[in-house]
Amino acid sequence: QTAATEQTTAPATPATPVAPLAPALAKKAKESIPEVKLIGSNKPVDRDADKDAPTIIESESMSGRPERIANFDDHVEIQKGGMTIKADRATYRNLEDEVDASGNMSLQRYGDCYTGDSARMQMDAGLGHIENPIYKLVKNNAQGHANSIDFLSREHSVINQGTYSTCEGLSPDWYLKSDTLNLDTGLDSGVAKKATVYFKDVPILFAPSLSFPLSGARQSGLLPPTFGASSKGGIEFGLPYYYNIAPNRDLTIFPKFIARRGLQLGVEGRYLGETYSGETSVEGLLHDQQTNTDRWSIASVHKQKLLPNVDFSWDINAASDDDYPSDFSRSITKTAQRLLLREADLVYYGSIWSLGLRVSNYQVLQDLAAPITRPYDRLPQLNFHAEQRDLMGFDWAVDSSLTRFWHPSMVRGDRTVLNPQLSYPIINPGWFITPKVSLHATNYHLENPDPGQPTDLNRVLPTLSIDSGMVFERKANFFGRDLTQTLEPRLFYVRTPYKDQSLFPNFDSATADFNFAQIFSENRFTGSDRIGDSNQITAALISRFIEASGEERLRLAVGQRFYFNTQRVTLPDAAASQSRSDLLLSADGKISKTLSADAALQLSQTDRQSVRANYGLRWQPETGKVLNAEYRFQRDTLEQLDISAQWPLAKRWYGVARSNYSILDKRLVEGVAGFEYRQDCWAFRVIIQRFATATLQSTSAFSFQLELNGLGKFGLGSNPIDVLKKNISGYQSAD
Amino acid sequence: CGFAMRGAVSFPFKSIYVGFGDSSPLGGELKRNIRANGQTVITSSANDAEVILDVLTENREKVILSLNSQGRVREYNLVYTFKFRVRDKTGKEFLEPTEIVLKRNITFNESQVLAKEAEEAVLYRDMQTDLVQQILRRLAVLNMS
Amino acid sequence: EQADRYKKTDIEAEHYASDDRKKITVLTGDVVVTRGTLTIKSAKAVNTETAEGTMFVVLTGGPGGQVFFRQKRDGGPDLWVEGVASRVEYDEKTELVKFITKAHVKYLENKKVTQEQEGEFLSYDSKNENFIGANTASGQSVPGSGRIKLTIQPKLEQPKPEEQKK
Repeated sequence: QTAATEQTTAPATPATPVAPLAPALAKKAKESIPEVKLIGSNKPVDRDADKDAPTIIESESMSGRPERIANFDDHVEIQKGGMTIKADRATYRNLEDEVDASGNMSLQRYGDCYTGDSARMQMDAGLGHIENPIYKLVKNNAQGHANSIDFLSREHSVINQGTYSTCEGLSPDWYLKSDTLNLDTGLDSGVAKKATVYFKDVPILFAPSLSFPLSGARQSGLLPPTFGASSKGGIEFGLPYYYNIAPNRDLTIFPKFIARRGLQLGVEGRYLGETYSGETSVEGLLHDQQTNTDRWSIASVHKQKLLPNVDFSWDINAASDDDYPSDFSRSITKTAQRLLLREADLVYYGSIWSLGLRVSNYQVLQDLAAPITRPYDRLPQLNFHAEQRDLMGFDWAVDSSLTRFWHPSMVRGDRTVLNPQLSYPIINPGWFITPKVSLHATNYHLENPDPGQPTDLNRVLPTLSIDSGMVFERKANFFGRDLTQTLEPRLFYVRTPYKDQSLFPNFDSATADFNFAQIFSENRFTGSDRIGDSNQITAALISRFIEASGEERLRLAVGQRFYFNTQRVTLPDAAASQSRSDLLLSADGKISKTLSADAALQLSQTDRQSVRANYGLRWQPETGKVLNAEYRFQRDTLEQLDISAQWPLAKRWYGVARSNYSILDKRLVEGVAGFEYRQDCWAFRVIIQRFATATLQSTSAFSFQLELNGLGKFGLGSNPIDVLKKNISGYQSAD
Repeated sequence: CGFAMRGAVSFPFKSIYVGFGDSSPLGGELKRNIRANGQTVITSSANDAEVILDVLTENREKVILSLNSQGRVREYNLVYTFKFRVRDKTGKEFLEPTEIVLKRNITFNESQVLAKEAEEAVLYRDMQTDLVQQILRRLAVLNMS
Repeated sequence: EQADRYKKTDIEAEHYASDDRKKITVLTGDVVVTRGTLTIKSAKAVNTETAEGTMFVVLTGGPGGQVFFRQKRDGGPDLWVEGVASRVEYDEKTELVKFITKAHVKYLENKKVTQEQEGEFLSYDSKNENFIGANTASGQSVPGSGRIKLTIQPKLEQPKPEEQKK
């Protein structure tokens, strides 16, 4: 009776804009990036140093008129700076500083080599012309033959009616045949006019103009077209254009024609400056024939340092309707996102304090099969944090926030929180004790409380905590290596009195996952709406195995919390009060050079059953070979077995597969299968992907990609490499 | 069984410059811990430090770990990747580029998105403390030859 | 330089022995041949008078020594050619100088070398202002029996004044 509506889409994305700016942007996203200026511009090769190099000509005989002309015969070799010409005969004209060489001529120029019938080179400026050359460039070791090659400058050469390929050998697997091919090592670009790409001598692409980077840098120009098909939208055809405005700015425009929907236009702009960076992409489809509505989506991220200590940023995502991601999305990450964050932040950093103003709201993409409750908006939220360490041995900190929570249906109100903390850490190499007192004062002013409920609520709760631990060490020898094994017992006592908070609204609180981070925090709830009453002590024992290099090889840990009170502050999802918490066990690390494992178990004390369990194993004997197996269990919510692998099947053939099977629902949640064929100058990938998009509905996507090294990636569907990198942890693609 | 309380941890260098932005929380906590053991000075500029810690990559990433059968995210993996190297001002490397990758997984439910935001911050802070300890351990065994 | 053609060639040396019948004179010891701007210095010189009464001199450098040749060239205020070789032959009539074995000829402009030639055999014809190079002492190039070399210095553009100040 499961009417799984099969929705096969082959979501088509533009083949990746060549070497997207993303890595540079991602790098910039962090704080200290000194070499921002260098992004995008590559260091000029010092070719113009050749101008003042002497010209040395050797041969077996010569004659001529001094300062005018000289003829050379037999084994002539002319050398100037980075250029060497060998030929049977050559003539040198002093005035024009020009050489004519002929008779099985070979020219070496900055690492590139050309052979041909004859060559004329203007030595001083490095200009020249070669008659029907065969060439081999040092960049991407591209090679080919042509009617002629002109050197227009030291960095710019034009290959006329020639072929270009990065494959070895006389009959390359693929080659680009073009009327003219402008290669500019300065701009790092190749632009072919009237270009045809042949793969195994079959023309697979013709383009009036095709540009590609010589070394992976970004290059304006038409990107390889994209094709796709989806059960709802029908055939899709896109012709993306990449516009490299400046080394730190670029724009990708991807118009796409979708058979049963219409013409969709997508624009993605990226920019990166000294103090700011950002990425905005907008997609629009006017009058979608399927739904007779306009469909659009926007995703924009921006970060800026307004002043040396003032950061401003926004993260805005929106879509026109609830089904937008599953109708137009290309990857699982998009379809799985049912909440689109819209947020803006302004943060001022003082010396020991910081003040942040934030506005945030979520657009909910409702799925009626499993409705989602709309989260609160924070319009605005003011956060203050200050702290100082080691002030006569004391550490103090103050966290305070003032938030106006808004919600269409649920109770609205302002919440003020003031949370001063004072601790006196006694830290020694072998042991530490940190007593800490803190006060959590909260005030609510509610706008529309339920009838009879108070509009103003207050709560002031002190908390005492004592964290203590010891560190023992010994030399040990495990797995045949000398390691330092540590034994770290730790005790953490927390005392917070009880206050009835059942009338309190719940804007942003929930029960935190029970893990080793939470087991040592004072409140069992996250957010500020619920302060758990506690009189508990947490005991844990951690043992680490540390290599001589300081690297943590293996870590074993066990922990449990003992309650001396019945926990009366609860939330719907909180566990019932208990005298002993679940037992936490975890182990992760490298068992051998190629085998690593991690296991985490949360064992309930009441029924001895596991509440949550993750067991993972990874075997990676060498690059290109990885096998992962992971079992994940969360009582009553999910139980999945996730197996993924990348394995060479035969010479040059690599198989990739992943199956994330839900044992609970007896259903494949996510599956990827595919294979890669890799030659030294090209690679072919085929991926079949299937992922659940909504209750009883799943999408299968098919994509293939032909990557011609140094030229570009042509394909259908989302870029398989990204899909594989996300799905198979430890996946390594060829490049 | 051979265990003894850990002795004082001393660094084999007297001064260090740590290449973090001034508002970087990881940088702040690392500096506090280096200062804690008393004998090492943190310089404000690179060339009067005996040892320089270069931050190569510091990247926080949130990756979907598991989905339920309706295709909803039920677990994220928070990945904190930190790559650094240690050299002196002439460029001689004491520690070649080393990458530390820490992972914490966090359950997720759409109806608790605000609370999960706060919990993510707690987990990142926990990874940050763990990262600082691992960096300190590597600094303590630097071979300064 | 063309003007040398109208100058007298004279030869000085420490010892002088001549054989009038064969019209051969042999000079040894610090031999200096001059003719206008042309100067040739060597350890020994054998001068033969040709039928037309012109001189044909063969100079050799003696043990390890090199013969030195220097002459001004037309076409500029300070253009010179200098050459050394184990053996130099100078024919007064054809004004052809031949540098034989380990020959090294330099063309200078304002005291700066603009061109240099090295090889087994080099010749310089100042009358027709041309030169020949070959890889055997005979003056005929034989494939595979050695290389000759020409080095041309880059043109020295006058650096623009402001550049010099930088």
